[in-house]
This record gives sequence, C-alpha cells and structure tokens, in this order.
Amino acid sequence: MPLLSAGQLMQYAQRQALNAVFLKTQSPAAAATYMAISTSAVTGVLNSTDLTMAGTSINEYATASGYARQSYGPVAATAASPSLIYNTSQLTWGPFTSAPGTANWGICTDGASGTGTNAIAAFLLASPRTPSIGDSLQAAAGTGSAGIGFLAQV
Amino acid sequence: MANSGDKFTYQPIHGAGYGEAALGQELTAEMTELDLRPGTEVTFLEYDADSDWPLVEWVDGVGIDRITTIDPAAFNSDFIPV
Repeated sequence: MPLLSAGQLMQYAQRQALNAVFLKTQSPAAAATYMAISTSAVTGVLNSTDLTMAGTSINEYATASGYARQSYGPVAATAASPSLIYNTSQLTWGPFTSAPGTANWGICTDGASGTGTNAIAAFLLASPRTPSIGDSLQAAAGTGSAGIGFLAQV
Repeated sequence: MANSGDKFTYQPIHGAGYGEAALGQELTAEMTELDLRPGTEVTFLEYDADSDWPLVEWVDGVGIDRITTIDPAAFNSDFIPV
C-alpha cells in the first residue's frame, strides 16, 4: 500500500496532473477546493489510493460537531522549480460543539461536504492537535517555506 | 428549509457565543475571539451531505472566513433570517 508523507498528491490528483501536463486530457475547470481534517494516525494508515473522502483510510472529523471543511484558497502554483502551491490565508475550523478527536492531517478535497468528493492531497500537520468543546482549530497561512501552511510541491 | 445564499443573524436568547454555549462556560480570550458571537451575520451554504446539519459561512473576530456546521435545533431557534 502506498502510504503518505507530508504534502503528497493522492492518486486522483496524480492522474489528473499527469493527464493534463502530458496533454492527454483537458484540465478540470477552475473551482473551489476545501481543507478537511483527518484523525488518521501519522504513520501506517492514510493511503494515497483512496480516491474519494469515502476512503477507509481518510477518517475525516465528523460534521455533527461544528466541524466543516474550510476553503483552501491556494496561490497559483509558483513559477519555480520545484513549483509550490499553498494556502494564502489562515484556516480555522469550529467552534466545536463536541470533542472531535485528534487532528493529524489536512486533506484537500473538491467539495464543501460529502464523502463523494475527490481526495486531492494530504498534508501532515506539524504537530497533532486535539481541540476541546468550544475551541476553534487554527492553521497558519502558507508563506512558501516548508513547514508553514498546507504546502505541496512538484 | 434554507436556500444557498440566505442570510441569517446569530441571535440566541441565552446571549452566548456558539462555542461558549456548547461548553457551558466562558471561553478563553483567544477562543472567544474565534467564536461565533451573537450578532454575527452568516450565509447559508448547503446542508452537509453526511450529517444534514446546515453549513454556514461567516467572518470571525480576526477577519478570517469560516464555515461551520450548525446543530439543526440551534439553527431553527437561534439564527434569525435577515
């Protein structure tokens, strides 16, 4: 099983990217993307072959808790090698009305809700966070530097 | 049933923030700033595809755009159409 490291594209996105770059298919239309939170363990659980948020390794926070996916809002991929993409604003989830568990990963997807949306990329959090009832969970805006924000590179 | 784009104001009778009300006591100053405070205008986005809880968009006390699922009972009682 191809297990994940930080900022790695999932199988759905790997295929989309290669087909677009090598001119096999048209790129998907521009649209909003969202950042979900996953409780999957840091190692040995999250699997890049999960195509959608219904994947058994995804383990997204439950929504009946104040939790919802936040708009990712990334920059256009940078004109550099490696090319980078990252969130331009701070992302904040909650406030939580029940304890949602320990956050280990951010997972980018292409829908605000539902398990049928495509899993695009997984980002390992710098450190796990376990918000309590009433709390909000914050993540920093990206700067282009590794370890700050939800950054992926090719 | 709300429709996408409908606007509401969070105006609970108890006068507490959404997270504060869930906890049942005052939040820290940092979490209070990030809480959904009474008087905040929210925009209905959609019903969550899994839980069917309403998803609303709003701006928190530090100017960050947020999306939050709202307990359906609280949505019916505490969110007043604009």
